[in-house]
Amino acid sequence: MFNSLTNVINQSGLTPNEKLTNLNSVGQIGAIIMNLLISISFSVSIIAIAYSFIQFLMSQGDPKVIKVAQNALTWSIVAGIATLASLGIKNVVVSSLGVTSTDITNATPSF
Amino acid sequence: MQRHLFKTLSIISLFVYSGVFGVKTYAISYSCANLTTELAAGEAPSPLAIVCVIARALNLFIMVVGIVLVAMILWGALKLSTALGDPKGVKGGHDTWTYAAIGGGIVIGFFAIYTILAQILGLPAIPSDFLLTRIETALIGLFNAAGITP
Repeated sequence: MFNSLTNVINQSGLTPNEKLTNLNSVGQIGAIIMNLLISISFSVSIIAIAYSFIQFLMSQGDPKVIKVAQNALTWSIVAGIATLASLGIKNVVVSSLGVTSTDITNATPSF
Repeated sequence: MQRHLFKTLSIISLFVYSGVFGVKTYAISYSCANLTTELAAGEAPSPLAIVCVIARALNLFIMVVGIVLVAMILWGALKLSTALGDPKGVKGGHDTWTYAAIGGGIVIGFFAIYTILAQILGLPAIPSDFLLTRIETALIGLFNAAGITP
């Protein structure tokens, strides 16, 4: 999960020696930005879910802390679902705008 | 909080719905074959080649709209995750999603709204090269008036 940058760069079709110096189309740059954000956002939402469980454990029955932890858990799960949904949203939005660049439509991040 | 959740889920479902039922392609298609041939032959491009440049710039903007929309949805998700239950942070994430959805809806929805209105009022549909053919016609008229052969 945490080597997402390497995966994203590998999937953009660049060889290791080229790295980020040979980005010559908006599609490639867009694919890297979107896939990187998807990877980061999903990873952060998993960390936030774990942290909200720690908040639950540390609450010691205090209703205020429990409410904050509940709020954090709910919105972290929503953020995680939205991130996964954005894989589909990306293709729908981009193809409905008529973009045919396979760098954008076919690129998927790996977690 | 349930109202916020409902609002968020309805925004997400709006995009899923528009994707399933309303996919509409409107990137601008314009043939730049003349320009490519002229450049390959080492000739100076015709003054009408400026239309190709405009077509490419418009297509680039359309592509960037999609990229920015998805990036803002993900940025909103990141803000929601890092809020960790703080109501202000949650509101910030919500606002990001709301305004991204409004912006994306305006861009994607424009042609859909026009198509619906055109069907009701009996107007002709917009061809994808609507703007560019008019620019080309105007340029040809201008060159003819000035006595230049494009």
